[in-house]
Amino acid sequence: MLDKLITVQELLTLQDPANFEIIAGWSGRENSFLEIQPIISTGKITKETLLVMNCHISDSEQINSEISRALNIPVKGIFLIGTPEPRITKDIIKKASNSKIPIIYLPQTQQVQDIMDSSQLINHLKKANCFYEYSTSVSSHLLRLVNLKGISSLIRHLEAILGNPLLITNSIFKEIILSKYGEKILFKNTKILKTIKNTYYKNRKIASNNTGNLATAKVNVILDDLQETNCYVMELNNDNATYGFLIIPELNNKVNKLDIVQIKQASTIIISELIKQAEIEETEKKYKDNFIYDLLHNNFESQQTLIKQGKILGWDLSKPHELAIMEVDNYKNTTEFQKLFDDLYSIISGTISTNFKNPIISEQNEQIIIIIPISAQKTHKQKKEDIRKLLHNIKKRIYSHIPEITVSFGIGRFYTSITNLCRSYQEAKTALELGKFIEETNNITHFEDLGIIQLLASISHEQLDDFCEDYLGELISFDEKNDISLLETLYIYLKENGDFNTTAKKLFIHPNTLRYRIKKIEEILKLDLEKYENILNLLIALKIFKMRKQGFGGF
Amino acid sequence: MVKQLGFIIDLNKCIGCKGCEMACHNENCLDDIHYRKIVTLAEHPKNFFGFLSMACNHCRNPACIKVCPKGCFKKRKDGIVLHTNSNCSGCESCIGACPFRVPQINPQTGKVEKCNFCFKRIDQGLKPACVEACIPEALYITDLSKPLSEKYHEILPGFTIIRITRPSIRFILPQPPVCFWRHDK
Repeated sequence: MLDKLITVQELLTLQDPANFEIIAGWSGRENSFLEIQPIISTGKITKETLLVMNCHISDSEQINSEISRALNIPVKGIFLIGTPEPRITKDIIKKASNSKIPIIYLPQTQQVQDIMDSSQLINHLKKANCFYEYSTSVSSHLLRLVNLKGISSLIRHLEAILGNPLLITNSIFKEIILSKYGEKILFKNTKILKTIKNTYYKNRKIASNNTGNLATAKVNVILDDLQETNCYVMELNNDNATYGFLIIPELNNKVNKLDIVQIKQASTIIISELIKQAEIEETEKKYKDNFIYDLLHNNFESQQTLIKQGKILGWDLSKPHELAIMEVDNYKNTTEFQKLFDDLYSIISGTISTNFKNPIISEQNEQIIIIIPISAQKTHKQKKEDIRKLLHNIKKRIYSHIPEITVSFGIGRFYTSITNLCRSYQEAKTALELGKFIEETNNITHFEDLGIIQLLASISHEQLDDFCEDYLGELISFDEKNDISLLETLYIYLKENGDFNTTAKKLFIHPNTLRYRIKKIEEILKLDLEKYENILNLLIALKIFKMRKQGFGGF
Repeated sequence: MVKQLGFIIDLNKCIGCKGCEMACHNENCLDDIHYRKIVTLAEHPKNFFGFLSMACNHCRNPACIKVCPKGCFKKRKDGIVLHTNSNCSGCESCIGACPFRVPQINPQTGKVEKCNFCFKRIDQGLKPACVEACIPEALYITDLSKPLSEKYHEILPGFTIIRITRPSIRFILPQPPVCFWRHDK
C-alpha cells in the first residue's frame, strides 16, 4: 500500500522507453492508484488498484479473460510484464480505450516486485516533494534511445507518452522531423505552420510561461477540419541561438506538468541532435560550395570528372543547366548578415525544391547562386520566361518573409554543356552589376537584355564622359544656366519613341509646349531629331549620362 | 577557404627600375613577350608623376573566362586566374575582352599567354618572382577577400581602370614630395 496516489504516467517516467509499449487506453494516463496487485494475488482487487500480469505464467486466452474481468471492476491500469508478448483482442483494446484504462506492455520486466519498487521510489520522491526535479535529471534512457535508434525514435516515444502528435521545425518554422501520427492528421497543410509561426511571434512575449529556460508559448490555431486547438510551441535554443521549435498540438490530451518535464528532458537531447545535424549540414554545405566554386570557375579536369563528382552530390550535370545570381541590395547591418543569408538560403531552397529535385544553391562572395536543370527542347523564349517566373516567385517569398530588404537577380545565357556554366556565371555577374544602371534596385536582369550597356561597360569612364560631353554638353550647360530640364524632356521623349502625346502626359505639360521644347533642343544641339543616327547617338549619350550619375566606373 | 590574391603597388616607392619586369621574364623563360610591364604615369593635375608595374590583375569577375570559346581560363580558389594553352586556338577574343589587354599572343607558339601569379612558387609558400625582385618593396601581394585599410585605393587618378571586372589590384597613392633643403614660401 502506498501513502500517495501515483499516476500511470508517473510510473512509466522511470521506465526505459525501449522497455514499454502502450497498447491501449492512454487517455487514462492520469489514473492514480494506491496499490499494485499481481493477477495471481488472492487479495481483493479494488478500484484503486494497478493490476500487473506476468505473461510467462499465463497464456493469451487466460490474460484476455483476466483483463476483461479487471476492466469490469474497473482497475486504474493494467501492466503486462515478461515474454512472450500476449495477443490482446481488439474488443479488449476498444473497451480499454473507451473506459480510459491504460494497458501497458513491459517485455523486459520479469518480476512484479520491480514495478512495486519503482512505485515505492516515486512514492518517496513525491513525499519529499522532489519527484519532478528527479524526473528532469533522468535523461540517460532517452539518450540511449537516441544513440541506438536515432532522433525519430525519440519523437515516436514522445508522441506515445504525450498522446499528441508533434513536430520539430528549424529556426524559420520549416518542418524537419514529423511524428508518425502528426504526418497523418496534421501539418500537411503548410498554412497551419504559417499560422502557428505568426501567432507564436505575436503571442511570445505575452504567453511565455514559466517552464524553466525553455521559452514556451501556447497558440490557438484552427486545423484542417476547422477544429480549434491549442498548440504548445517550444523554442529549442542553446547559448542564445535558436536551433528550432517543438510544436505539440493538444489534440487528444491536455499537456500536463509531467508532460512538460518529459519534454524538457527530451529537449536537451533534441537540441544536441539539432546542433549535430547543423554541423553536418555545414560541412556538407562547405564541400558543396567548394565543388560549385570549381564548377563556376572552370576549375576541373574534364567534363566526365565533373559529372561523376556531381553524381555523388546528387546532381545530374550531364543535363543542361541555367544559372542566376541573387544579391541583397540594401542591407546595412553587417553583424547579422550571415543570419540573413542563412534565412535567404532556406527560403530560396524551399521555393525551388517545390519545382526541382535537389537544386544547386550555393553561397559565393555574399551572393547566392542558383543553378537549375532546364530542358534543351524548350524554345529560347520559354527558357527565359521560365527562369524569370521562378525568380519572381523567390522574390515574392523573400519579401513576404523579410520585408525590410530588396534583392536583385542576374541571369546568365543558356549553354547546352555544363562546362560552359563558368561563362554563364560571369555573364550573370555582369548582368547583376549592370542591371543596377537600368533599375537601381529590385531588378531581374538577363545578360541578353543588357543591350548597349554591355558594350559600354568595357569602355573607360574617361572615354564615356568625353562621348557624353560631345553630344549633351551644350544641353547640360543650358539646363544649368536656365534652371530647366531639357535633358529629362529629351530622355522621356526618346524613351516614349517620339510620341508627343504620351511624353507630354508623362511630363505633365501640353503637347505644344513639348513641341516647342524639342525644337529648342534641336537648336541647342544643332541636330535633326528626325534622323535615326542622331537619335541613336543621343540615346547612347543619355544612357551613359544616367549610368555615370549612378556611379558607374567611379568618379 | 576561398581567397582573392592581388597585387598592391606603393606609388611612393616604385622607381621604375624594371626589376619586376625582368624577374618575371626570367622566371617564365620568355623571349618576345613580357607578362609584366612598367608604365610611366604622365603628370596629373592631382600632382604626381611616377611608374606603375602592371600585369594580369587576376580579376574577381574575369572577362577572359566569359569569352574564351575553348574554356582555357580558370580561376583557382586563391583567386589566381590561370590560362592553360593546350586548347588555345589563338582566337584573341580574350585579348579583346580584357580591359587591360593583358593576354598576349606568343609569336613562337601562336597561342595566348599571360601572368600566372607564379602559382608554382605560391604553392611552395614563396612570393611571386616580381615581388621577390622588387628592391624598394613597392610591389607586394595580399588577400583582398579580407578587409583592407583605407590607404589602399581601387582607383588611380589619371589612369584608366575599368572596374566592371573588379581587378585585384590596389594602389597606395603618392604623397606630395617633401623637399628638405628648400623652403617654399
